[in-house]
Amino acid sequence: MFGLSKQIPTASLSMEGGMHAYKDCNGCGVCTLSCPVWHQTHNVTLTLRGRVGALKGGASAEDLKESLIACVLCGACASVCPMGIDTVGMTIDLRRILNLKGESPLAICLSKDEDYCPDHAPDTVLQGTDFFLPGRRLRSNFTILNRLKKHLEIEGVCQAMDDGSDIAEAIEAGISLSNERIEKFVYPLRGAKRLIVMEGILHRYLRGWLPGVEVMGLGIALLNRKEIRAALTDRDFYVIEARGYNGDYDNMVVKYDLVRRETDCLMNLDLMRAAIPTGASGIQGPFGLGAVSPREQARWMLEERSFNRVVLESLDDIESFKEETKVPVIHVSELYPV
Amino acid sequence: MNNDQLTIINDRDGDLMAGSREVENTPCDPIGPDSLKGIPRQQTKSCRWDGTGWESFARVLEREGILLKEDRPTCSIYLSDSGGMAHGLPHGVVIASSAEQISRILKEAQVHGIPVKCRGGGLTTEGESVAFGGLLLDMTGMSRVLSIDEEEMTVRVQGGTYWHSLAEVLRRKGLDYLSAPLNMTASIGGTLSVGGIDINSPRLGCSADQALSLQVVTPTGDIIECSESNNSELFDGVLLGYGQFGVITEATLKVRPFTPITMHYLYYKSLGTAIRDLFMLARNDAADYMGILTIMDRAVNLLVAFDSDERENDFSARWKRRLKGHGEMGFGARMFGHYLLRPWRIQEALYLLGRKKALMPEFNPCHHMQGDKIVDRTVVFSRAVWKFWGGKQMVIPDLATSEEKFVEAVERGNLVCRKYFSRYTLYCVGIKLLGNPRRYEMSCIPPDAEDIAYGCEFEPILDDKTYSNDYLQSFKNEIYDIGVELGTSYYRFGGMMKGYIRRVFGDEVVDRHLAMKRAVDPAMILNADVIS
Repeated sequence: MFGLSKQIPTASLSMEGGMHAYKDCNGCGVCTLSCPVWHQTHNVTLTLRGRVGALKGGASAEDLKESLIACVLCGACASVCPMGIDTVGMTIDLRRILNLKGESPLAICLSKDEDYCPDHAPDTVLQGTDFFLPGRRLRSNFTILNRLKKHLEIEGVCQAMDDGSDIAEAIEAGISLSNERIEKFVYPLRGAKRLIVMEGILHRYLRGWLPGVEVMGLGIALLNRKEIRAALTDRDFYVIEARGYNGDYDNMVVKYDLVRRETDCLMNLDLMRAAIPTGASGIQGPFGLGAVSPREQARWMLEERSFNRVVLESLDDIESFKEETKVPVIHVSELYPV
Repeated sequence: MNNDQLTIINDRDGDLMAGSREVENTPCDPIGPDSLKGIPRQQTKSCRWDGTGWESFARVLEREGILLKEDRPTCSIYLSDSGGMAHGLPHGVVIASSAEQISRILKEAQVHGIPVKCRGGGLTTEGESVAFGGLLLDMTGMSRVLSIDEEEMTVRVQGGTYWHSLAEVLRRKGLDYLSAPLNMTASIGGTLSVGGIDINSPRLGCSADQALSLQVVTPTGDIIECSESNNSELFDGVLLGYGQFGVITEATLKVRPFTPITMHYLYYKSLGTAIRDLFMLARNDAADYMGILTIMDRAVNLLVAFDSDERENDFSARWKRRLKGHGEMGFGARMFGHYLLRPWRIQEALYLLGRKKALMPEFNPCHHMQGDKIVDRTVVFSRAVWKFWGGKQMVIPDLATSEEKFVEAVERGNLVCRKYFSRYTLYCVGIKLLGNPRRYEMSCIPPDAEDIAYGCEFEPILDDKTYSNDYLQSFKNEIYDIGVELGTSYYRFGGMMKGYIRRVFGDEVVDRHLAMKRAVDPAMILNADVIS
């Protein structure tokens, strides 16, 4: 193997880790306030707060199936939890247990999905300092992908051959991954100083697997460039990719706040400065298992806001916003010509 | 020795001794001893309802198409409240969806004699929102902001809505509510039922006083709109009524333009001095927000804040110099001198320093600031509350008194805190009274208060230490006993506080309310354990 096993945090990919975090919960319920499932359903049993309460009362993962499947793993709950509980890790661990018991509709659907290729990784080892991992959705949009590559090439960032989108999907569905697959994914990235990763759910794992490597979302990577920030105005509604932002809240809240102050643009942040997700990145949607309507989320974000343009970090969100507004909806890479 | 026989007796010096004694002819109290001198121990824990009639009730709800969840995982969600000391499971849970649904439930509950407990954010601390059997009605299912009238400056909102969710909607229009608890997950219906105290309450009154009208489902299932001028008896019964006289399904509240606030901090070594300065500021309407927050009784912090530069300038010109508190530097120098002469208290000094170092950045996070103004005060304060004072058990007994009794009440409560805990916080705030409406009777508003009432919460910092429920209950009882002796009131009634209501208000008042309750709730099914 590649000598990486010591760097794979057992807590983040094993059942012994996160799920027991519910014991630290003090029941304050602040997580509920930023939860998109709560916002749309007003049903506490489908929220983290409900899951934790049920677990404290002895519930099993199977008891919580509906609630576990409803979660879009946006991580807003984690970003606002005063106890610092790894709420996302807890939900993922419970989904993994659910899958092991053969009770996970997400895993069942995903395994039937023709696009899901858990072993598609190439053997090629890329040499470079910084890599861009576009994810499945961006990889399929050649126009934007090429523009992004040109943007990022300026900074010496090249596209990774293996962007781990199958790993992201497996994690989300609670499907166990072999160490071989993880090591194959991680090995070429070891020499990197910086990884720009579109799939927000991968950030936490990459930080664990590759300590010392800076992992950031695509949006903040582009916004680091002055000319791109300069193209944002106070008439823009800027939609942050929620999983990456909420997963690194303490850093991101400061960075995006600087952008907001510099540009005066509106952002999809609630009063607690958690990023409001559309939920479109969740794997439930295509299988009709979602409790969150991305379009309703987009409507909520835009309600009572005044703007002339919507700027998105994630292409997953594009349909929802195009359906909800008549103003131009563009990708962040389109803010500034290459 | 049987645990139920364990009791803690106050000796003459106020120290604690553990011992045992037989208590004859009084029920055994599994929660804790009653520290009232000379008064027999009383049962403070609610008994589980025996379930008579539940099955037929459940079948009726099913026939009516009302989703009733009886599974253990769902019921477990509501096992306890923020107090974490009372635990009980309902027989079933309904997530509220409309006034009509609640009406049908209550009508059937009357027929079948099913206790119904309403719950919003579950932030009670004495088990008031815990169901010991029967039906738990989760009001947070009704969490929508229905309409905003910008001309009249009002909002219509469903009763289960969290104040924070309301703020999210109002902010988009540049508006804010008037006053609400510094806790984002308090629900509007729950708050209006008990009071709702903010640090602007010395100026704007309690949250219940900002309600203009309510839609209420009565215990017998009638859906009634009420206000000061329309069904006013019901309006006054429901506001500050602890859920006894109806379920608040909708409320029309006053709103105001949103403003960021500027904070000032003044530090005191003496509780009494700080409280007297709070009185002066409140009486003279000298600040928009004010309250006292302490680290034990060593560092007493008077917070004042302002909605506008004009108000702040007026405070600086007219009132600030009259205050006896110090700025941070001046207080720091005094504390340095104090501990220099008392080196054996170095641990306490280090604790104060560490606490201040951890707390202050939480009150000024850059992403919630606009220049030197706090933009989202409730988010900032509420997060700090949960981070630094929150825990699995929220032990916060309180006393609500008139101005005349407040210093004594706080100082006596402070001694109780010191006796039981090495680390604690006191939180004092005023409540502007709006005349003498009927709703103030038998509420958190003390009967002898005029113009402004005052409240103090006594909150031990439990950290990771484990205390027995007996110990915590003993502490709470000693605080509450002060209220009985001084003739004050409390913020909380119902649940484990039930035993205190007759002691503080007397039989005449309680019996009158009990008769009112029986008149509107013949089967005594709705949130009935406040006085029954």
